Amino acid sequence: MTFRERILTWDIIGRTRTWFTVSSVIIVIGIVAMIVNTFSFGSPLKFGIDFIGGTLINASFEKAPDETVVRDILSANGYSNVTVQRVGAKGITMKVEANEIDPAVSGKIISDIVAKYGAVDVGTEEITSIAPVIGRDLLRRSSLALALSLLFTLLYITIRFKFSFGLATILGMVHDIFVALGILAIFRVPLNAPFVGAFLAIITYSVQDGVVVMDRIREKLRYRAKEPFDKLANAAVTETWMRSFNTSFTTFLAVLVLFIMGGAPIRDFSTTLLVGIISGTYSSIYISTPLLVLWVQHREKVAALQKA
Amino acid sequence: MRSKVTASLILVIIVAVVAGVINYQGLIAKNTKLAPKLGLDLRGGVRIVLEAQDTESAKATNDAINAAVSVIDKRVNALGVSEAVAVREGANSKRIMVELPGWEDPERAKEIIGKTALLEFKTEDGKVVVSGKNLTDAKLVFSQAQDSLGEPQIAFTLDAVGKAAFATATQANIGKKISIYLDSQVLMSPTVETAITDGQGVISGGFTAEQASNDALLLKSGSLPVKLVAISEEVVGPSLGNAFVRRSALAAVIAFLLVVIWMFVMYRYLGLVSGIALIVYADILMAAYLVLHATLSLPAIGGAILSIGMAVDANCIIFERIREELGMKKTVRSAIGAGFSRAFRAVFDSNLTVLVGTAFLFYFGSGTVRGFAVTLALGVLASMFTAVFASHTLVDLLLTPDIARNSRKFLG
Repeated sequence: MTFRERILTWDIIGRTRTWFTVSSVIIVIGIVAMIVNTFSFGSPLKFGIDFIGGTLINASFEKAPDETVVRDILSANGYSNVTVQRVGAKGITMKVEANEIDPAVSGKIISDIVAKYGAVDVGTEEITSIAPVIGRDLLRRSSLALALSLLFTLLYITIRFKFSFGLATILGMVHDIFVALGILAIFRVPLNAPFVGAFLAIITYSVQDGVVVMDRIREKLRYRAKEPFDKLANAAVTETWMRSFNTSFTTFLAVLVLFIMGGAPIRDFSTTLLVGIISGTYSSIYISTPLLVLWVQHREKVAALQKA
Repeated sequence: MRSKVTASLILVIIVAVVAGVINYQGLIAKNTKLAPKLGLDLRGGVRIVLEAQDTESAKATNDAINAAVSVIDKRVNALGVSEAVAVREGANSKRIMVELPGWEDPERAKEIIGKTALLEFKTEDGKVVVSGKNLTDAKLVFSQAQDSLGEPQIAFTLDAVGKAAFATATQANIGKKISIYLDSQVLMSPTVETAITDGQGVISGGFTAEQASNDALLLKSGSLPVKLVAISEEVVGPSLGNAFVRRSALAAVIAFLLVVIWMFVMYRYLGLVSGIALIVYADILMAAYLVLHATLSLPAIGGAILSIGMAVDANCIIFERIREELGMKKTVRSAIGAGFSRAFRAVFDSNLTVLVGTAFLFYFGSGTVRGFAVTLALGVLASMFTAVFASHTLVDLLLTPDIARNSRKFLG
């Protein structure tokens, strides 16, 4: 029996309890991490400079400062979450995730750099506080955009399929959001502007992946004889399993290459995407479909009772 | 059937060639009109956040802030900063974010963006006769008069309303002074000698050429209806920079090769053909970015990667379907036909669901969210085009009787 043939014999729906347990455990761990974070750091997730704002130190020196060395100096002075960038020939910009810096500390940072790279060019040193790139308003607006977009996605699926299909897909997506947020909370990945993009990508991926599985169920329903719904749904997911795997695997490959080659600046971004792809594929097969089965079985039971 | 295939093929070739020419122009020949538009995170530049504040004369109302955004938009574009962005941070926000990619001097930017630039002509008793909103043109000129030869001045032209008002005012004030104020500062107070009826004039106020040129630009793009205060300014180094852009281009090539290898391993002949379809897809997608000046920032790249995943997905759905059809003892050619047509609904619905979602993200979102929505939507459209027209045609066209007979070569 080939691997493909073996997949068709899998009883995915029959082991619903297992999948739900696995997901619940992951999500509960994530939620616990968020609660712990809230108590120990003040917020469930670690928001980066783009969300909370910070302080910017600019200065030019006699010699061009090395970014890694400057980063080490900052970290020695107690600021490890920093962005350091060269500006022009001898300038450097340091972004620190703190709304205020003690003048004594900033003075020490500058003098440490001076010790290595020579005196500060007169008039180039400045310390300014910067507003968050993603302000509260922007975040609120984006969330509203997302909520509306999901509402219309649900509407679209309801028109093309059925309300229950849409609901199952959206619930699968909610599952992916919690998994992703949980993992971000556990590893305290700092959230910055690119996170918004990664997050949207997860949601889109999850919905898109779910719709393909739902399409197969819809098609099978058209030719349904007396077959029980759970058997039908199981056939649908096993028949589309290989496609789901191949799609995710190739997308996964693309993001993995970006993860390896994009380097440190976008590692958080690509990590979020990788988690989302795995979770999105998993949820459309192992969460959304079983949820749909539970829903339909419940409805069929109610209908049978009413008849009797 | 045959003619339908030919028609699709011609369409695909035309689109691919046009896209290829666009890509060549934008990426290799460096045609500035088609140059890739990189976001601030990839290219660096200046980002300034301004906050609207209430003053006695002007409240920071919604309308005023929206008007201010469009004035700033005109100003930054008049500065010649390509890809400059001026957006309100949210529907009800008092903050306006301005991004000037490739720009280095935040001070000059702030001067130009934050200045009210309210021009007023006042009579001796303080009555405003004409204001900046009646201006149709303002430009830097150098004085031709003997006593001030070569002095930078601003030449202005008034619109019909301004012209009439100015004519009446000068007529009524012959022998008196009319003062010209810019942001409540007197620039000059000439004495009116004759009525000025042509609606044109020059302002001299001891400008340097740069000031006169800046102010002319400001006057032309209109005055800000509300007071704006810069609350943050930063020079953003290209955090990801050129090296990153080059590396991600290389990453894209490597990812593409890996995907094609995997597709070949999984689907043999069909996988190889999908590789060609993917090249067509990437070609069209890149050209669409260039033509529509989509801003490529990190979130946008996320959208692009995702759309590549969906393009491959369309192929996977179709090929798995063909495999199933073959399992029902169909001939290769009929299995291909059935596979493509049966899989179409799944491809159509999954892509359209995404399009519906992105449309709303684009409409209600801003900045980053929009960038993501645009690249993703373009990707989905390009992917549907290649899935519908290119893949099927290519699979039919390149199928030799030998491959069709040998199922191992055909689909593995």
